[in-house]
Amino acid sequence: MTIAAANRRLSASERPRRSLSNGRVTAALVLLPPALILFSLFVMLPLGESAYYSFFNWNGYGTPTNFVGLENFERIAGHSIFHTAVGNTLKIVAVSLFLQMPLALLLALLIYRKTPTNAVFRLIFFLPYILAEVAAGLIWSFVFDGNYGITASVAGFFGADSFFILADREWAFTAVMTVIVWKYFGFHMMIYIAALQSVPEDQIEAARIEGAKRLQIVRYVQIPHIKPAIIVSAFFAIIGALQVFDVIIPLTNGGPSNQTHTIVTYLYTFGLTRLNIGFGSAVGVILFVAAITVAVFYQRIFMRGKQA
Amino acid sequence: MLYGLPQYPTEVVFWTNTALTEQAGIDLEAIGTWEDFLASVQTLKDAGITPIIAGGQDKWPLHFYWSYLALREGGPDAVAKAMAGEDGGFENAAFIEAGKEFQRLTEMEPFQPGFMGTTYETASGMFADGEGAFHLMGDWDYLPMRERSTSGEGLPDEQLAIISFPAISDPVTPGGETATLGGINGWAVSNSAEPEAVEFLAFMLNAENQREGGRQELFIPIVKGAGDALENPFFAEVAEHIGNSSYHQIFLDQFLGASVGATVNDASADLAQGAITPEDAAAQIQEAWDFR
Repeated sequence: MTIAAANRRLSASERPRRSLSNGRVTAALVLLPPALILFSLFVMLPLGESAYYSFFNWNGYGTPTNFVGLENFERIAGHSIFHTAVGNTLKIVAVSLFLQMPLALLLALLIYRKTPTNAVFRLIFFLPYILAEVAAGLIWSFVFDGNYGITASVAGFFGADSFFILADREWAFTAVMTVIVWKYFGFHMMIYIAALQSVPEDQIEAARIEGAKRLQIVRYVQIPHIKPAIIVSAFFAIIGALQVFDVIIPLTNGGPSNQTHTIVTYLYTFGLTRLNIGFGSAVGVILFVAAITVAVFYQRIFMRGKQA
Repeated sequence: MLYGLPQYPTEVVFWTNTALTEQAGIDLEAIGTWEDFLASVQTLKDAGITPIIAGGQDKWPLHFYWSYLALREGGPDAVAKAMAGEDGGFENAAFIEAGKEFQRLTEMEPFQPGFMGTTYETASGMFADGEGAFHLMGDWDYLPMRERSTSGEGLPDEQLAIISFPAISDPVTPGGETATLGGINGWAVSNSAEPEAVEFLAFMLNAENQREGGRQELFIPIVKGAGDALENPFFAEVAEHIGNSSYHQIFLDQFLGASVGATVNDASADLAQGAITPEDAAAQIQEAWDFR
């Protein structure tokens, strides 16, 4: 806007000279290629390639020749394990939005003020997020292990039969979601803490003088103020849920009998490890379309206000 | 062109903890058929002993059951015929019967609790810790299972035995009674290989060196007659099984390729949990085979 307006005030003969002299074109010529080349090579090209491979029955070796049209997509649509994987991914979205985010907000409200004690709690709550996903998955697989793990010790202490939640077709995914909430709530909490610290103190004070209770201050002052942060964190939660992979592999590896797959572990298991690269590419295309759709609609609906 | 040169075979057998089977009063010599085996599983359960340890999370240890039963039910040619699409392919009665017999076992809940959350490594250590009477696993587990046990010692040789996978009394197609399931490890040589490579392999795989490998317990020699140098009683027994085998079937999860093989593993795990019927299992494998 401002550039266009400024240019309009210049005469036609002046324009090219000015834009060259202020270095915009040069800057673009120098700074654009690295990003453009990397983005094209490692994002756009693979995207196009997987879209192409998704029409073939191809094991990844040599050139794909066995063109099968939309058969890969048909097989995915009819595959009960894919349905489970999509359902599981939606469950993660729901748990992230309705359990993890409120939990993160609650904790953030408790410890957002800058005090030494709060710093310690902040560190403790943030620790799971720092841990590598695979390490976290392994640690929890020991926790849930009913033979030698903490579950075994606890059950033994109460004299009960040990239980094996990761081996249970009904309950294994609940265990996985527990780990996901534990792993990522600290990230959302940090977003809220940063936002809460920027809420003007005088407004909170004014509300208090007006006689607002603690909960009312949270409800009518703090939450409205950090709404943009909540919108962003919800966006991360949804996109993150679409991508969950590395926690699940060490925990259950998608089992028992493929009941705990997400879309990405489904892609990995049925596409990569089974050398069905064409099939896997088709799953990738579906995942990509889903992620793009979510991102675009989310931006349109929730993040529009911020642009203005 | 590729040429394969075998170096050593492996066989999947029931590793048995004889202290536990004796405690339950089971005569291992008398287990000849699948019915005998199911009966001894019941005897162990009645005695309060976990009959079988299985690493269900990895799925492939469960596919040994389905593969062996298919081999016993359908005879040595069953898999080759199914691959050629004859007699209904993998939906042939032999494969469906295999699933049924497997579920007769799993309905008895023979495995340790939480077996679907147990990996092969953990299962192997649990067996060596004396947690269950049988473990269907390859001969290669002899040393690793000790290392994975809590004590690092595992079970002493006197407390260990191996038995062949039992026979089916009334198979769909006879002939599979003595067939073995396992692997064959060896070398692949391309037709562009240097003559020296071929000479070296010919030397390494000659009868004398095969015998020496057996003597040092490095492997079970594949050359007939070279097994006489085996001093380890378990390996000697495996060598004898393989010598008498009518057909050595490679693990189906490798033999049928990554995709179909993994489907066999999935189907075996689902059968073990009663999540699918034997007919579904056969249909899933056939579908994967059609689309390989």
